[in-house]
Amino acid sequence: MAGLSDGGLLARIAAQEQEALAELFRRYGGRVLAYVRAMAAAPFPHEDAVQEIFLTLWQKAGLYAPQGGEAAGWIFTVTRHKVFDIQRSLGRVRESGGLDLELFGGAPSEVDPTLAPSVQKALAMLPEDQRVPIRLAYYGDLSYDEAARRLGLPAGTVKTRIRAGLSALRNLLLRKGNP
Amino acid sequence: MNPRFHPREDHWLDYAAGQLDAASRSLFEAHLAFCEPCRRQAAQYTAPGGALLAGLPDLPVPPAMLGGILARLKAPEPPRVGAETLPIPRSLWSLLPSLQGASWRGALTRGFRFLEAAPGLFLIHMEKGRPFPEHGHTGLERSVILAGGLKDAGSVMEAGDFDEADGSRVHSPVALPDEDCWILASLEGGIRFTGWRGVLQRLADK
Repeated sequence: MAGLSDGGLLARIAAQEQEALAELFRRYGGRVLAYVRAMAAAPFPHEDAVQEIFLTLWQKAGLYAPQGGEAAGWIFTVTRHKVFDIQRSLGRVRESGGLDLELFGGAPSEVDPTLAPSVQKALAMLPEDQRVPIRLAYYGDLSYDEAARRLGLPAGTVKTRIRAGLSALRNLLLRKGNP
Repeated sequence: MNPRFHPREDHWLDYAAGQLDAASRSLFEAHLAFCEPCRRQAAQYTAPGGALLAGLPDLPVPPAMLGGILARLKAPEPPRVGAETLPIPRSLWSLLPSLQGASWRGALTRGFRFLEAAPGLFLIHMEKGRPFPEHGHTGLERSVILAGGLKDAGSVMEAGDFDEADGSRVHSPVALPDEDCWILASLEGGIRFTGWRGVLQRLADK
């Protein structure tokens, strides 16, 4: 299992191999916990959320197709969906806002020590009017409407800026040789 | 064969960023299960998130967490309503929540039935060759064909095809003649029947 790509693991998970899920957890469990903690302000059941996220990955692995892109992106999306579902079930008003990427600024990554800083560096290269909406409503836990109220912009403008910013961000990350 | 009708491209940003309600998310995932080009489009929007996630510090997790997850794993099961097992493709089983408490409305003997699978998420079953009564919607309707196909306003839609209509459209889809049609739909608001069913509905609502 350890030699398999993330996508290969998801294919095994779709075939109901528990050991593949265990390996995916070993690769991503701590990172998913880090993201959930950064995204959802306490009090929030961060560890319960991680369990629910991996149970969802088990159930939905059959929907993932390797040609659909990097597995990490799919895990990221499943994670966001689960955090939002839990927030809704708790009836909580989301207030934490932008993900604090500085939180991870000095932390080395065991997967690729250049990767997290490169996301930050790439973000820092974006114009502020794209960077801030991305931090609020793409990486952070605000809806378009909530981000729009905070920024004093129409929600459609927030979405347009996120879209343009992600396109630029993707190109910057690719240029750096990262996924 | 890939579906012919797709969500708008920018909706994949909404999906990736978690900006959709749970019912709509199920619709988009049902389409993804059939549509490789849309999986690639969605991946364009999930990739920057994946890059962040992969680079985050690997925080220590409680030692018992993995065991707790493994202990809760269950093999996927086909959706069932009462004693009836529904003929939904296996790749879509995870999109339907438990239907054990759900009950059908309408009757297959009259050509169609539907149930609310989750808040705002409807599973519709049309008998082959039969129409769904003419109706409109009080809000946005999104739908994906899970199995079979239908003809709607001159368009033929088959498995995986995605449709989105606002409240202004009145339509009467007809299931294709060779196979029963199963549809997953998310509705903001409700269904507004026209014709004699509309009269009955208005009476019933009073």
